Amino acid sequence: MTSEHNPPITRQEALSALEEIDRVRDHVRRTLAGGAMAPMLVLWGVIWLVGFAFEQFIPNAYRLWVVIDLIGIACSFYLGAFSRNAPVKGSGGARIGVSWLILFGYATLWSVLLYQSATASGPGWTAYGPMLERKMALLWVSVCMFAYVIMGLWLDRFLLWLGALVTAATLVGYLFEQRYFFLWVAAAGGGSLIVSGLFIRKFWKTAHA
Amino acid sequence: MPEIDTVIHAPARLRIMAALVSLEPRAQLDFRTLGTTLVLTDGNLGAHLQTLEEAGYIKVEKSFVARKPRTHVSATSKGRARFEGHVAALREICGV
Repeated sequence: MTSEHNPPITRQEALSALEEIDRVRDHVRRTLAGGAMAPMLVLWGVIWLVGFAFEQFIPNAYRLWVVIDLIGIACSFYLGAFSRNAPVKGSGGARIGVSWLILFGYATLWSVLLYQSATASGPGWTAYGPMLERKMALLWVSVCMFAYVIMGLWLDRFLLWLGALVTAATLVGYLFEQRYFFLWVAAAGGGSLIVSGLFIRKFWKTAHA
Repeated sequence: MPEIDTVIHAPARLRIMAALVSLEPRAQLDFRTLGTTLVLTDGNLGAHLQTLEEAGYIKVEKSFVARKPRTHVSATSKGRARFEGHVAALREICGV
């Protein structure tokens, strides 16, 4: 296991080395993910804050959502693909971007199906409209936050808790807050993403291995 | 039978290899980020990287981004294999 010219490694030294390896690996993974994730969280937090706040006061705000979501996707692509100061080259960032696009497509598919089933009800659509918008909001928030729950299982429990708590808060708003539901989601969802992004930017990158 | 690699086993180089191997096989880490993350000075890091590069365990690439010099480091396949062998040897010593 070691040459006769090198002193043998004790069990304690080997154990310390293995612990150090695990610590460095976790730290590097977390630091790099935090650097990439923080601006995305803030970006989408602002989009949710603006989008849901507008939806509170503008009926049928789906056109606004299409516009700001496309802006968000373009900004995300720019942040991910063209960041000159990205610390890692050749990583799997493109796969993460594609994963989010697939999730976006999944939620869009269900939005279209829900909308079509609602409009198929004919004249009742007008009354059904606001309930559908709330269902759509819950769908989008829960799908996006599910992604953070999964990421949290692999990366850091902070993300898991972020996803779970925002989903729970949105569900509470859906069940109990009829009048200001969208403002509730703007604050709980958008606000949480912004705060989380700032928190990760400050504390994940400054911790040392 | 897995063997302890004395080049890798030095504490700073062990941490450098652990950091590089935690990335995907084709990924390269920026020199400055590596030093900041592992709390190593540029000089210290540079010396250890030279040792690892001479052993064929890492590759160091220099480039320019917006006219500023950037250095990126990645683990070679030989380096990854040696590192995994080193880890296996450590686990054997621990009886894990």
